[in-house]
Amino acid sequence: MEITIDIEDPMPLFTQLVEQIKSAIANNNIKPGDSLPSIRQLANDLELNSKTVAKAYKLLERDLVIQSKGYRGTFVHPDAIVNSKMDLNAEVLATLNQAISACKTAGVTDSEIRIAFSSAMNSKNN
Amino acid sequence: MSIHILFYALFLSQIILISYYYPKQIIKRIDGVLKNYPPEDYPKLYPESPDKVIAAKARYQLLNQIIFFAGLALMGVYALMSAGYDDNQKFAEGLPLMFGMVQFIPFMLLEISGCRQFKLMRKANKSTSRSAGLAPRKLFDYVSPLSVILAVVLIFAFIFFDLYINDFVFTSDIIIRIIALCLVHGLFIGLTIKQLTGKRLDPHQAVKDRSQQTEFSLQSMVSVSMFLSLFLIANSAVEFYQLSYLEIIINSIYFQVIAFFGIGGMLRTIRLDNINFDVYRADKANV
Repeated sequence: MEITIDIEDPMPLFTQLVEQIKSAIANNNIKPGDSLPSIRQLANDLELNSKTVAKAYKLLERDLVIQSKGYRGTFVHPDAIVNSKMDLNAEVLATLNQAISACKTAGVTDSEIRIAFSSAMNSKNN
Repeated sequence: MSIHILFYALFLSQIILISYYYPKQIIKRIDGVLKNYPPEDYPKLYPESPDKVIAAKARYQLLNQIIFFAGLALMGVYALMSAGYDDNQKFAEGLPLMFGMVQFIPFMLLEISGCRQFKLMRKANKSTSRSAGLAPRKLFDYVSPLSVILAVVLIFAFIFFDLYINDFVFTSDIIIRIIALCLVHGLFIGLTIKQLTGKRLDPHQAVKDRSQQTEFSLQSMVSVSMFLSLFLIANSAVEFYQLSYLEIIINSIYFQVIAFFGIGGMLRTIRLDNINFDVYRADKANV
């Protein structure tokens, strides 16, 4: 199974990597439990910075599409087929839309919503 | 006299195999590429003018011819010089070893030329699209664990044997041999890491071809490691048991075995008709 990225595509390189790996899983080209190349190997093969590949792998791990097992390597997550079809960004957007709708129904203004959101983000970061 | 005849037969075989037969096969291979994959249809394969490839081929051919005839001449000279020698009398000392190293020079120069070609291909590659396989490259995917274990065992077997015949005294010769062995294997380990995780030299090479090349390289290094250890054991034994007249025979056999598994192995394993040359065609957008 090969993946191809285009360095002149407006889509960020790490996003291209994430999408291609998810697509490979969804199309059954790689299966749960299959091992994936190391960050260094994939970065060298694609002539990318290893941080780009590391970022893609981190996002895939967050989405439970892959799992890192230390020195043993990186593997496709057992639930990758289901998880690769989930769009986390769409999920976040849907949740926020729901919350915003609820606030507007309660009569909260746009600027009050923005201030509350910013305050919530700051308290999470602290 | 029988030892001398055996040596001449082996040395002649060494000259023919390494300076005639394998260069002829390589030239045939280069001609095959030039004929079947010409620059008009496969421009990415020729970052420079194909005339440079032809010139390099001619230089390689000439160098091998010079070494071939030099080898025959040397054999003739030694035959004359040692006409009256006994079987157990040392003669042609160092000849197969020194000559063997000279015989490998054209192959090393060809390898350097190949690396330069790949560098030019990488420089000329303007494609924005990059591909990679999603399969990890792990050592034991290409070589059997048993062969690696055997190679390691043979290294320690040689060190143990060398120490054993020297009453476990670390003489300077033993230390030099161990250091040389460590350096060679350090080089092998470095090359292995580069093969498994490094960037590809040929920017257009198909994933399947890279995998095949990696497999051959790694198996070849394991084989060479094993033969090197056996060669060193044989040389130490010959020295210890005062069979020095056998040294030239062992040296000649060693070089031929290395050539058979190295150069010969490459020619047998990586066949032109198995390589994906479509990757060297012009991009459709540029046609």
